[in-house]
Amino acid sequence: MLKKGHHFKIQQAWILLIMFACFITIMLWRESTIYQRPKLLTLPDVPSESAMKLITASDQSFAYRMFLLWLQQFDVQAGQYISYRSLDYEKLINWLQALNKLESTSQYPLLLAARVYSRVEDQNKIRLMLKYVYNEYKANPVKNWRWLAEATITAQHKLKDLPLALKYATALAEEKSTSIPHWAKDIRLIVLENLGEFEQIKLLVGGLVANKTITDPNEIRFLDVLMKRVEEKARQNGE
Amino acid sequence: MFSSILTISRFSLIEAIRGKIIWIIAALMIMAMMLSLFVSQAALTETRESQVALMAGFLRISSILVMIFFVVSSIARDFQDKSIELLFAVSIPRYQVFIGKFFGFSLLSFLISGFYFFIFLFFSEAEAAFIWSVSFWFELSLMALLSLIFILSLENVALSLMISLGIYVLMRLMPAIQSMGEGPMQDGLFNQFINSMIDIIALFLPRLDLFSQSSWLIVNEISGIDIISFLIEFMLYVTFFILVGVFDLKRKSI
Repeated sequence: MLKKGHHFKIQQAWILLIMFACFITIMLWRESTIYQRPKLLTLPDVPSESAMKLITASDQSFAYRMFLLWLQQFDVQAGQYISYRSLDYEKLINWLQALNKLESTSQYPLLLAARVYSRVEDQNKIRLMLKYVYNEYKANPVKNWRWLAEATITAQHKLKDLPLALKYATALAEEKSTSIPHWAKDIRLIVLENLGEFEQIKLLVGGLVANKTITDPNEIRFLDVLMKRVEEKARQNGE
Repeated sequence: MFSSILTISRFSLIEAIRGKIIWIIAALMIMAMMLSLFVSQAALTETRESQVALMAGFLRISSILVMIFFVVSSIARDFQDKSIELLFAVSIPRYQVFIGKFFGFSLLSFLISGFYFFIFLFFSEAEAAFIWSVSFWFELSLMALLSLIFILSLENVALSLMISLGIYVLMRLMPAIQSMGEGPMQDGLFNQFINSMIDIIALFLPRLDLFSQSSWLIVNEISGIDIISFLIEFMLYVTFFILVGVFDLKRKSI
């Protein structure tokens, strides 16, 4: 019995020794540069339409929200933040398009496009993102007008591209739907003011008031102030 | 008849409670709440919608796994300690044993869905939370029933677990698989044969994609057709599967 107990203790000591050696190896492995080297992931292609259907079929809302959070957090990788500049914006737009098809009522992909991904310090990438917002607006103006309004502001102030801002603002102003508020449609007047197109503003405002498109007293007051400012600027410019 | 069914189902439920299933469900609920907290910090907009969709998805998948594992292990233990033989030796008909076991698991499903109902009351309209919970009760019961059939029939834990999980995934994805087979390039003879095989398999499986959809909790708009669809699916398939289970048990020599 004693012999057996002694043998058992030796076995235990061996096990402890190997365990300790294992633990030391684990620590060395964790500290090694091979393990620590972060691998930068690139955005994968969007799955084909049928594959997407299969992935999301079980519970569309669940899959949609999972994909959105994954895409939104893609710039955070292996303990480091990667710049939006290093993201492939063509692929990113493909992802946003695919996700936007999944839940018709959600505004999330357009918010990411207009408010997050268009803050990148790369003019071409901003243009790509704004173009995507514009296309989505064209497809569904009633749902997406406010993202185009934000895109107009981005085009005007971040890109300093007033003709592009005017294109977007005009698209907003010319939409017949009553669900787009007048303040959004009035962005065109502000862009025109910045472009120095005073005559065009006068014509547009005159038309809006004459055909009674605008009836709200506060809005008429805003247009009055705008008209006075425009006239003052036109006088100063000697027009 | 009813008293023996009720007694067996009561013992199944007691076994579940003693087996700490409720604690596992409580742990899942805590994890779901932590997930919702994480999502509330990560989401830029539509926070409630993101929280609800991810919580519902997580609770659904994890509870289905827990239920399948519990049913299979519970019956496997009955086989091991010979209590199933004891049950079949006494004068209770086999169909009553089967239905009693199923009722017990269904009661457990009811309890679990009831807990989830109270969680979703904080995030969604009461009506939407109620309908989702009822639908999830049915989904969980159906999966418990299928796992019960597989373990009783196969008497093999690993095989029953794999088949139950595989069938669950298949049931959830079946409409997508069917629609993929109807694409414009799928008109060859072989494809047509495969498509008809898939259609035949689909007939034997309930459409679980109609059950407990996370979107119900988000938009709070559940159509009457949605409700009727899962109710009819449940009624038809529960009857069909009980008959399959009873038939298989009757021919079995235990």
